[in-house]
Amino acid sequence: MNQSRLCLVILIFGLLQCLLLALIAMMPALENASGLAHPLFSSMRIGGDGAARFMPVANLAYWFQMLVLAQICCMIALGVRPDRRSNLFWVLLTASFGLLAAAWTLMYQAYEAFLVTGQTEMVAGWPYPTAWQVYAIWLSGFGLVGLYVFGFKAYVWSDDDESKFQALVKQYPAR
Amino acid sequence: MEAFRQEIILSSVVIYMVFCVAVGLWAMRRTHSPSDFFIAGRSLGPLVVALAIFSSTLSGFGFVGGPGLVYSQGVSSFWMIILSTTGYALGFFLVAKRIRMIAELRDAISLPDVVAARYKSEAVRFLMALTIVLGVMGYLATQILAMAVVMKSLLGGTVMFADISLISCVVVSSAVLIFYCVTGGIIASVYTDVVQGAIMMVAGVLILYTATQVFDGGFTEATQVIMQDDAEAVMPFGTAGVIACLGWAFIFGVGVAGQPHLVTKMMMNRKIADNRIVLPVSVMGYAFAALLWISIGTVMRALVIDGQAEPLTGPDQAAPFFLSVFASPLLAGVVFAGLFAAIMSTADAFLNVGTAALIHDMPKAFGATEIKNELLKARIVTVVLAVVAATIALVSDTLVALLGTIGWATFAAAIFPVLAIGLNWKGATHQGAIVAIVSSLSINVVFNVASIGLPYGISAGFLAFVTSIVLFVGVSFLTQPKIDTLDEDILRAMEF
Repeated sequence: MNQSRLCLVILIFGLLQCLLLALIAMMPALENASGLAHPLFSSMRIGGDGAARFMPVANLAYWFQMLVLAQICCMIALGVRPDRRSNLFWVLLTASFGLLAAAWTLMYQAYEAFLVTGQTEMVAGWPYPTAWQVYAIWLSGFGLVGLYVFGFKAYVWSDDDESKFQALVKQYPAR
Repeated sequence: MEAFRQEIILSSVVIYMVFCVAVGLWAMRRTHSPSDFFIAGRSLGPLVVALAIFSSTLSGFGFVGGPGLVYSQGVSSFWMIILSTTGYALGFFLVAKRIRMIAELRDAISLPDVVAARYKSEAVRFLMALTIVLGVMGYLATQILAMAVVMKSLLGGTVMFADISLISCVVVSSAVLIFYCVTGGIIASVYTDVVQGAIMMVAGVLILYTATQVFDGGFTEATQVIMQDDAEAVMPFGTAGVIACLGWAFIFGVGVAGQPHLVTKMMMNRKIADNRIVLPVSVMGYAFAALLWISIGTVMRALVIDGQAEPLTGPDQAAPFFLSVFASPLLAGVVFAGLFAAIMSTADAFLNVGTAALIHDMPKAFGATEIKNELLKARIVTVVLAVVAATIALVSDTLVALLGTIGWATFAAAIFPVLAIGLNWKGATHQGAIVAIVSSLSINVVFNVASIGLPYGISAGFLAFVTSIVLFVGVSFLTQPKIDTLDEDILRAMEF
């Protein structure tokens, strides 16, 4: 896939994000949609009824973030020279996307389950859905970091690039 | 040791201030040219660049504003942190290599230099410089306000300065900052970053440990206390709700590669190959340091709800209060010193890019070919910028965190598409860049100045960022010339 086609995909994802945001903005706003003042402490806010404010936008928000994650991976492909995007690169990038998407989906499902049942376990200091957020979503980005670090010479900057770049610098003295 | 708590903390901060002055003077001797002043002569090793990148991200905003946001809004602000790993990777894939190549090919010393070379457009240079100046004002005010808040909190605990005003603290903070920045330029900033980065990583872990000891039941008890008061506060989207959180994740995750104080540091390393080390060190450093943000804010909220601490007068007091009361005096002293370091080095980086925009880029955008006495002018403009930002900090009634968020969002929306996508796609045009920058600035300024609110916590910065990416790519597709119009060296650099 060449750079322009990748940018077309990025554009389509962006347009879909705009559409989802427009749909969200057109929904009737609930009083606690973005929180309420705490009844006792003036410098704090509360969320109030979580299900009431989350359920109307739950699907739209879920797919918005999936589009963002897919867009990020497309942008990462854009940063790699087209002839270096081997089959292995696409497999690793897809796996990295899978990691990000899985963490997001599992956190989302855990939160929806909490809103339905009102019950949750505590995992390593946090309620179960928040543990997915703090540990899994944060760590899931390391797939992409690994792709950069371990694929550096294959996808980003090879020893040959260094010598070619030095030749380019000599050919075009700084102006 | 506990009997001398205030003395130990103050001594640590004073020792650090003296260290800053010494670093400034040392760096002044190494600063001979505008290139030294603005990009450290492209001579820094990977560890220095890595620590400088992550510690610039977690500035006064991270140390003061972050815990304040968790205290006031619960888990919501975690979304500013948790996509950072992905965001850093994105920034390195898209920007780190190409910005360094163009910097060397064109002897560029600023971000507008790079985009002017990429788009062959002085209009893009001017708009980029304007964006930087506008964003710098918001963010620099954040730093100065954060430093003054912490100083007031520290000195307020002494007999001699018990009644010191915030204005006095802003004046003192600005004076030290100006001396440090004017003498040392970016060299002082990056070497302070090294010390600061190391302190932040260690402090993040130690503070997390301290926070787990405050309640008998550890961190679990703290979150349960919050949950009993309001379950949403410790659920993944906090009190602000899902859409506001996704907005923050987008701005702070994807937007990393649009922050001028970070990407400028990608121009400073000695070798492009060093980026292989810089990325993981930055990401790990950030993760350790962010533990402070998460742990202090959560425990302070629980302490107040549980009645173990008086309600804070403002969310920004969360970190100073926790450190002054719960951390051991020595740890508090080190963290306070690290906090000042964070603020100083980030403020220095902002003053640096802001000054470059004003004295280097704007004149060039209007046709100046040679700028005389650039180093002297840089030092004078640094003073002026700091004074203006200090004034904003004093007259603005906005919180540290919110000022910082507005600054970050302005940069992300205006700079990310033009730089990160534009450096990797030859089809990007200067018309696309101009439309993206103008639209993002317009949305950010109009919505924030007119205080226009959108449903479900959709912020102006979020809207501006999503829109600017679409407009940049869309307008570029519509205005593509039939033949390549870029300079040969830039074209070839984009083929690596």
